[in-house]
Amino acid sequence: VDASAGTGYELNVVAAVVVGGVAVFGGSGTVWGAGLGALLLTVISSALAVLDINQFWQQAIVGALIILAICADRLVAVRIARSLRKWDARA
Amino acid sequence: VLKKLGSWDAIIIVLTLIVLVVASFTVDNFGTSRNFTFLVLDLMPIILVALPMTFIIITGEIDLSVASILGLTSSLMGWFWNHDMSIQTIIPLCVLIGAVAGVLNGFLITGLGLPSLAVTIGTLALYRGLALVVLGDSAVADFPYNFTGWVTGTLGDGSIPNVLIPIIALAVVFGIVLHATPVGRSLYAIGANAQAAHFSGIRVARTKFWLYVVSGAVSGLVGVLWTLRYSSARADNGAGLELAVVAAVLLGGVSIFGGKGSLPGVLAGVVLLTALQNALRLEDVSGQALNIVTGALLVLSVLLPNIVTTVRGNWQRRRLRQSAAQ
Repeated sequence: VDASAGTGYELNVVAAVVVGGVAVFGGSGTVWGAGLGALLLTVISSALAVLDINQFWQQAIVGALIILAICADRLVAVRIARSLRKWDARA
Repeated sequence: VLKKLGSWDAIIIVLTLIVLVVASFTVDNFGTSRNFTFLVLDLMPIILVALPMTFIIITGEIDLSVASILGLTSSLMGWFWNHDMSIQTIIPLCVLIGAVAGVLNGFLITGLGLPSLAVTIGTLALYRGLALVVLGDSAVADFPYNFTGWVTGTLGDGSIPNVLIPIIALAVVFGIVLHATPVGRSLYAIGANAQAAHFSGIRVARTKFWLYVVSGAVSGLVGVLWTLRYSSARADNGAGLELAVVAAVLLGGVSIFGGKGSLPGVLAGVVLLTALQNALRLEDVSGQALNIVTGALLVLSVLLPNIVTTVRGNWQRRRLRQSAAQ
């Protein structure tokens, strides 16, 4: 055991939570989602290792995944807002 | 004038001067010209990256990917050099690549409207990952001496380090833009209330976009200077620098919620943090203890202004009540 244990983990944790669908600015998300996000990231990095993909690519892939997850989250939010507005106009 | 003196950035400037004076009298070798050169070299990456970071935080956003852009350009610099490109093409190319990295940040944040904290945590991992892909865990060290020597050298035979020239030039440019142009005023307006700024005719999205491009370009430039300073291009260059930069900017009196802060305060904040670390290191304080000092200063810089405003508010309210009672 030493004092530097877990250095750099904050990035992985935030990545897992964001990928799991918790909004960074609060207001939405579930603990199950965050858990699934962590599972997904772990599965992906071990899959990359099994597939014999260069270990140096792993961090880049994690970063790309985070950005994709935020984009997808935004897309869903915009579509929900649009359908709500349509529903509102009909009523 | 009294109100100005009581502001946080004025306090931090005075505190910095006190630390500098006390350290040069009590700490052996602190005031020597050799140590001044080292101090400026340690200051260089933080102060340069802190300039665009101040602008971004004043608009209420953040850029955590700066250190990774630095690492990416450092890596690419080594890769280009290994592929027989001349250093004169590599340097502007690296600054350009930094700007392109900033374009991606800016597009995701202003084009798609994503939260900057989340986006730049993502690109923090992405750019550092790409840096690792480019150079792996190897290092490139055989850069030409006339360039590495210039970065670590001094003007003539004097004690003024060469890198002080770009630092002062950029600080003056950023200071004038922030405090003496309409662009600078609009940054404060965006940070105070983005919607009101938008309705006042300020192009909020476009301004923020260009801030990220500038931040990327400056980070790329610092990547080049960092590589030349240690004459070593490595993928992990500058790892963790983003925290030091944000700490210095907040210590300098910039509000993390945007709309408040000044560049002189930030410059003082950077000098205070670096000078304190430098002085403690001369006194043989260990690196771990230095981290404690940085962390404690950061917490204090967030805590103290709040306490000051609360106390001042209470005092004013009591005075009002007294005058109402009379």
